[in-house]
Amino acid sequence: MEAYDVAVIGAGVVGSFVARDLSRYDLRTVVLEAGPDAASGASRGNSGVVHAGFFSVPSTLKAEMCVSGSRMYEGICRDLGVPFSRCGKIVTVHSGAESEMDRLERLLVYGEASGIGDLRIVDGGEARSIEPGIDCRAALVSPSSAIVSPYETTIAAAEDACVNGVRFMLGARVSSASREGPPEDPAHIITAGDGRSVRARAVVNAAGLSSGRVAAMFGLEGFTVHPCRGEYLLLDKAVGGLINGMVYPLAPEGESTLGVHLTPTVAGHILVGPTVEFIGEASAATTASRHAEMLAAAHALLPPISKRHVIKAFAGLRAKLVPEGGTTAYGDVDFAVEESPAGVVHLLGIESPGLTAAPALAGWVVPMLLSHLGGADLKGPTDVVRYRWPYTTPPATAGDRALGERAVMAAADPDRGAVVCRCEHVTRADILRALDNPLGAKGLDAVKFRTRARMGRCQGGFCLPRIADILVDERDLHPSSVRMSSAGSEPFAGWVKEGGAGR
Amino acid sequence: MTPPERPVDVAVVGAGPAGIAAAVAARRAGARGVLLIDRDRLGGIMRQCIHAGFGIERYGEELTGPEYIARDIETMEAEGVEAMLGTMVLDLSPDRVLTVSSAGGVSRLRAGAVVLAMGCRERTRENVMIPGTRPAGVYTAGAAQNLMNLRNIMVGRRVVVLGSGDVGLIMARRMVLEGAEVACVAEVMPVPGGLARNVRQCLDDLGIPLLLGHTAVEVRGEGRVSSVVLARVGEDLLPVPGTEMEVECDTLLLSVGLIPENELSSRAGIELDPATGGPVVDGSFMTNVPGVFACGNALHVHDVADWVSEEGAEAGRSAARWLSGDAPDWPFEVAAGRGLRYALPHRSGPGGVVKLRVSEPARDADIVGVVGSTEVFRKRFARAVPSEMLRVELPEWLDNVERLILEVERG
Repeated sequence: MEAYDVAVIGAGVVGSFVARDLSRYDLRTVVLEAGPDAASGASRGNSGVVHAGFFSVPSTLKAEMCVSGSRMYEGICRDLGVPFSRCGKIVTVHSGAESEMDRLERLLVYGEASGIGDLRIVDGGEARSIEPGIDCRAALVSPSSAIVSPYETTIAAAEDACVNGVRFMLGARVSSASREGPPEDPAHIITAGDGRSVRARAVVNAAGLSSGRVAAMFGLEGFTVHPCRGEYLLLDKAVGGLINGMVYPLAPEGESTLGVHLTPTVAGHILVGPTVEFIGEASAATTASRHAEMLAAAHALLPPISKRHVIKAFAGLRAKLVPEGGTTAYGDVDFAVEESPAGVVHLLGIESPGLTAAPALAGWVVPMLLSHLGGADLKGPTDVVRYRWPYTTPPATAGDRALGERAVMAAADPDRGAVVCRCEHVTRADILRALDNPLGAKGLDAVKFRTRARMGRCQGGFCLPRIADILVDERDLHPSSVRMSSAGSEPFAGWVKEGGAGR
Repeated sequence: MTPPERPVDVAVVGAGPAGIAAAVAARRAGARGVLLIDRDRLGGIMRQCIHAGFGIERYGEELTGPEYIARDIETMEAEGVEAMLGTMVLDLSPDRVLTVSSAGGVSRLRAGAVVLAMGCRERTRENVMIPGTRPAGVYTAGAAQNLMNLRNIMVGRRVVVLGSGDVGLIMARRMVLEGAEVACVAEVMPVPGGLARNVRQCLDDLGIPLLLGHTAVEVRGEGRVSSVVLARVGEDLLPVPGTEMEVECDTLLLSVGLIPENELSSRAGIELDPATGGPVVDGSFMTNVPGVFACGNALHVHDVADWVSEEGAEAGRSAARWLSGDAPDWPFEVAAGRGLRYALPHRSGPGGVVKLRVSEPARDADIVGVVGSTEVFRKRFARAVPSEMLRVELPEWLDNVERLILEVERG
């Protein structure tokens, strides 16, 4: 059994940022991830918003981690080479009723109490100068709110950790934990459902939806994490230009969510959602009723939006912490960070604004681990491998500078010139690099979440056969062994004619 | 670095039947055309259409897709038309500069005229918003056809087909011939979407059930599709609660419509017709952007490839003519009125040909031309169905007309 200083359970955005921070120290770190890739859970299915922090009640952990995380994001994204856009946000009020204005005012007060200095409330006319397509009576304006690609950010953080020595075990769903060694300095044996196990002196539980279950394995009882499904619709880039930044309605009074809103994506689409639904079993299926609800909400905010602009529907599952004795119909519950026993840090109920808070949570948790381990040396600057997102070729349609960069790359490398995906202009080089990603994530979805091939309006109709060529002809895979993600997700049933020509 | 740039007479985007016909016609009319195609081979979608049924109108014989397009490729090579294979057009500007990318690098073509012949794309599961999980095994019919016919890759073993468009019908038969089981073909409308001969040859002859008035309301399965839930629809085409039935399968093939591919057209500022999804064009197939022409399935979705070739040739000839400074005048607007889904070209003149589709099937339907509130001509069709394009030649004596409206009158 391999021995580590730290085992991180979960390669979502929190676990990946923890692993990245740990990789800067002379430590042996392992990440156990249940899914087939980093960002397999909630870190994949969310709005991608870097919240300024005014939605959270001041001086809660949520507010503090959100505000400090949001200030770290731009620099982190620049270092990782992943997109970040400070597109700003407006929260709109439509009736102008006094109760609504009061609630808008409250967000401003919350934000100011949390130290956000650039918030202001404007009338409908000024809101229109910011968002010409939006008709409202008043709005709270947050210029510093930003967007990222949540899965690209998470995968980049994980890969940065990986190229700096952190070991990733994918498909390792933790099923049990035990202790051995002297009581004053025990080692934790963590075993996955497939039988693999590791030994570690310190542990981080960043298991998202499974964090309550994992906490119980380490003897920390009483934390119930409940799946709360949020559905989304992704709209065609053709309507992406209708908004400049995020457009939120004023959330319904007494609910713990933000209401269905419009969020630009870094790729130029509009994301509509999320809905809120507490579900018994963790299922990311989408439903006709929520589709209709989202279309109606989106249409109310931005009338030109209709069903024909939808290019994708998907759902994410929030990890909602249920307070002791609580039901699922509760209000806002704060993040919980618990060290129990010593050296085992649990991050529980990291739902929205968890993406924003993740780097700050990592910055808080890592010193706790170091203190338990009795310290560790920071690596020298020359010992840190510089990681930069390698899967994106600059777009051809974003101005002369990006096109020029693309031309230089294509002149040097034919695979950068050959375009595989018609909708997102993904090159053959992007695909090949994604297939050889450092995490060892396999399958067509590992390519999709790195390159965006199959994410555009054709949803793979054009590029899937071309990616299949690379896997089958060049990588010599039998068609029936190609996977989307985990075992059981095979898209092909073999050859049409055994022994026939591949093409 | 600034990408290298070169001038060309006519740049044709797409090398299916429309693009090849356009390039050949432009060449024969004295212009030098360059054919741009993002795939490694010429022929577009015809290469994967290995069934017979092409060429009846044009050659009076029944050919397979590859046979049909081979004749055009031969002509094209004989005419010395240049083709740039593996070349993706990334951008098109209103002044007809194309930014292209290939293994040879990124470059620009400054074109005297452009013919858009990108074809169409398939509507996806998301376009029809089928709820449920997102497992492997959901394919558009054309993508499945590509994988099976060009790559020898089998997509599934037990199949539900949603939509009875031609590609769906042909793929239902293809799956059965390759040993798969097709549980059924479900069609939301009360009539099949594809050609009558395809319903007969692909479904009836093989005993594949066709469920008219049914749609898919849920996809189930985690890694791979495990079943699809179908339901009957009411007159509003919405599912009727209580009529759901779960059909076990590992594959859902979608043949739920085709949309002209016009990302490039939009980037160039070309006006699109919401009814066709393709550009608004005049009788020369020129769009509102001067010197940019459109034809084939990028203009409107055809049902017969022969007419695609014919339209491509006309667009190519027009492009060459425009280059020589000869732009015909199209004096009046053509509009689709009552009973028509669309009519094009959107501007025409005396003696012009208008292509149109009816909204509802009818026997003995009259297409009536109306100016103001006055009927100016009518033409009778013994059979008019939405799946088959109709053609009407406008009278030569139509004069002093600003706007011609075409309507359907049922006999």
